[in-house]
Amino acid sequence: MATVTFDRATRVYPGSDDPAVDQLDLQVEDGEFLVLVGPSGCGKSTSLRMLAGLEEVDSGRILIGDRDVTHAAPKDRDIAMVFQNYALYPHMTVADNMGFALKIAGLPKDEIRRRVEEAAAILDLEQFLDRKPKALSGGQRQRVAMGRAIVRQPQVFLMDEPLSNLDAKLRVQTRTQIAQLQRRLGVTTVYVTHDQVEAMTMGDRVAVLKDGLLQQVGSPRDLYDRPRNVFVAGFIGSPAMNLLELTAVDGGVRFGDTVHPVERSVLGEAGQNRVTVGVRPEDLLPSEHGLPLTVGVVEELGADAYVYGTTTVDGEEHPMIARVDGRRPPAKGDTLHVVPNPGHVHLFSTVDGHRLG
Amino acid sequence: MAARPSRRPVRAGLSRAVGYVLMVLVVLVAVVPLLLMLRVALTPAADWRSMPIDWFRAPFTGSFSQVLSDGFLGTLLNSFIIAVVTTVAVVLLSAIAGHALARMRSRHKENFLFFVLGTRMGPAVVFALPLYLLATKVQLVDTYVGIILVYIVYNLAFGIWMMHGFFLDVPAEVEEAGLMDGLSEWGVFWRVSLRMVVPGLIATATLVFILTWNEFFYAFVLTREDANPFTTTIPGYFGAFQVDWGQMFAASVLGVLPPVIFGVLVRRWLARGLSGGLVE
Amino acid sequence: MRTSKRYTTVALLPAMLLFAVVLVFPTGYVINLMFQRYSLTDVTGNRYVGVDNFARLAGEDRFWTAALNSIVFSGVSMAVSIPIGIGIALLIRRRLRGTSVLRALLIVPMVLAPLVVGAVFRFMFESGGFIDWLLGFVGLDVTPFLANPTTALVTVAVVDAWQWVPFVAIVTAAAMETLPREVLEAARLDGVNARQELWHFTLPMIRPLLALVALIRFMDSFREFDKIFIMTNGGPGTSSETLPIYLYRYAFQYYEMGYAAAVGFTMLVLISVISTVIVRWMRASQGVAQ
Repeated sequence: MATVTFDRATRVYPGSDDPAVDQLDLQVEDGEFLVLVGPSGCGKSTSLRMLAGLEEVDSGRILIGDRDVTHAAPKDRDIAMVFQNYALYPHMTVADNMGFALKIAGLPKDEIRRRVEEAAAILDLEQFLDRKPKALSGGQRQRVAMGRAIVRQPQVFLMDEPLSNLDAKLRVQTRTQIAQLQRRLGVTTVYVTHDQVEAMTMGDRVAVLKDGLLQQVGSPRDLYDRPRNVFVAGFIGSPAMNLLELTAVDGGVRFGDTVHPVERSVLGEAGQNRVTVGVRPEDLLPSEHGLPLTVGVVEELGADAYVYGTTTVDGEEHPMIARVDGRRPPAKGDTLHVVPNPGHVHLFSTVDGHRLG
Repeated sequence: MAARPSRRPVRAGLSRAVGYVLMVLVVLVAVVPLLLMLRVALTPAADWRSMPIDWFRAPFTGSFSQVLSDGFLGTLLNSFIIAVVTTVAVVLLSAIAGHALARMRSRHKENFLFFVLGTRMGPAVVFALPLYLLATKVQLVDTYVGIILVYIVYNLAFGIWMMHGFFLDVPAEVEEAGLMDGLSEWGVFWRVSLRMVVPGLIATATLVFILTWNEFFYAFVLTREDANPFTTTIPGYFGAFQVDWGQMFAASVLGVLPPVIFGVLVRRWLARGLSGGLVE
Repeated sequence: MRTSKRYTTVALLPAMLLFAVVLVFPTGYVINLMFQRYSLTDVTGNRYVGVDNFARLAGEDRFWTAALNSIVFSGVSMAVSIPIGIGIALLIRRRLRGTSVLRALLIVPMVLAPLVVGAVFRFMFESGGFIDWLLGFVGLDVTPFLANPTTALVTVAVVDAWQWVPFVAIVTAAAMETLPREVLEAARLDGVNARQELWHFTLPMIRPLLALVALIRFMDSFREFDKIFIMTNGGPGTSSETLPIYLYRYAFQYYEMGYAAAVGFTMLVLISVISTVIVRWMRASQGVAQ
């Protein structure tokens, strides 16, 4: 077990001007479950592959524990990886797949057998040990890929979208199982996904990347409650946070026919009289005043309902989502008025998107 | 209007019948020359030209026994040694080179592949001349080493091209899993990738074996009587004034058998091999 | 897997070395030789003569005949094998009962040595032989195909086509099987009939592969030696003498190595030019397909 450190690690693909990963600084604690999340092309997989040794590091360093592995071969890093397509060896049985790394390492046969059986018991794979991957279902293959990683008892687990090939139901189940397994084994884990729900539910901490740049790293709660910029605010949470560009007036921002009070010093940071205001759907409260919301579609979930509609700011229409009481949902075409929940308003600069206050 | 529904089945039946007639025709055109060869090889000289051919007359074995007593088996053995060694060498070399090419990301790769394919378009007659002069100088005329070397290179181009294609189908992730499991690049090649392209190896071996076994021109120029494969004996049956069709076909039948047997053995991969990997 | 430079170099080295020894060297040798008068029978006059060999070649009617014959041979072999091969592929696609037998037996011609194929057909084309009998049987006139200067070359080309029709058929049939079913079904729903489907969908969609097949067929037929050698040996006269046969005579019967080298080089240039044209067409059609 060990910590993982990215120290200004940078990767520029040949023939490209922009780095795929740009000076990534990140520290993963011993035993921690860290999730790298972001839209496709954000550099999350590249970061993971750099740590695996499958991708070169053009500048900066990567450390596992105290050891600099920047230029070490993958086989010398003592890490195991679970791939998106599982990457099982099609010509080997499940047992051979799981034991292959130990065989390469020259462990005695009975020791390999023991550890493979142990892992198989944990993952409920015992009756499949003699099968070839072709004869397994998607979920079983996924577990074999997990098994292959855990028999190694490595310093670090790397997982590259390991759930993306499972159907929705199995994905939710497996999500929990992986998280529990990781906590039980206590092995430092770096997990890549494009799915923010996965990130939020699994990670001890989550690192959000975009265009090769680290946007924010923190606990799921942190990211949800205090997103550091507009991108993180919009990326984390589902349905997404409403982000509106509003006019700042003396002592607050204009919210329809009301004014939401904001401290003068915070507005001062914006440097101009426009700010981006972010309010999550559940933090929009029905009111007599505030922003008008014209109902387009109502999504009823039982206890709650989500209203997908439009609002008008300065004569321009913007989409808006609000959570309402599921027992008294509005009808399509209705107009409600909403005001933000005072403690849960996020303000961002319209210039560079960073959080104000 | 009323006629329409009833015409359809008649038409379909007719077209089906035409289909079967065509199939029979195609099969006949494809196999009759081979059968004819066998029939003539089993017929005494006086009846070679009697038409129509009596396909079911009792076999005459004189031509075969004559061919066998003339040392033809020795040339068959030569063919065998040459074809097997060439096939093993080509498959091995093209697997190694094909894998490296499949994983190469360089703008030179395209050029190299076209250079490789270009070597296939060089006709044997053009290269035979300098190769003959070279072989004479280094005393490799009429030796296994000489002819095998030529055959290896002659087939290597297509072998590399084919194996390159097969390795492209091996997912990069599986190879990376091999790296993560502690293998070196060579280890990944030997213990993971190569095992995954076994059908490709067989297909390549099929093509190389059959092409080498059937090759005539290089052998004709570069071998005499020690290392000559069976094809070089065929022109010998064509005399100045008459041809010994019986013996020539007896020899041909014996020479055709190994590729046919080989073809039956690898029939699952035969089409893939003979088409140069163009067929799945 | 991203491989290291060292791995790539080491893996390619054996093949490169072999290419160098058995290919690059002889090519260089040919290029050196083609500027010399280099005869094995009369060594006293051997010397560098510049481009004399090419001047001689340009002035030889027999060379131009051979070049034309080569183009005719390839043209006929391709024109016969490709359409018939496509036809058989369509037959295979119908999946009538016994198609697997057809597929298995179809391979037979490809497995035979070209030299043996030539020998069998020479026998079949003998005067009073199988073909004559067959023609008489269906009531056609008998022609001495191989002995007649106007038919010899074409006859051998047709035999070459016979051997490689299966190649075209098998590759085309496989390509047709991989075509997206939905597109063809959508076309059928739009009221496209079988013939329109073939011309406007199936064939255009496999055009890149057909171009590759054409390239392979061209290269193989252009250098075909064995069948012509055993069936007509270039005759009657020089009526079926193609470039490979012509080159063979000068190199290995007249031993005029310098001149033969010039012929060989010209042949390579010719093949490259025609192949490039086919490859261009191939790339253009790939663009269309995408």
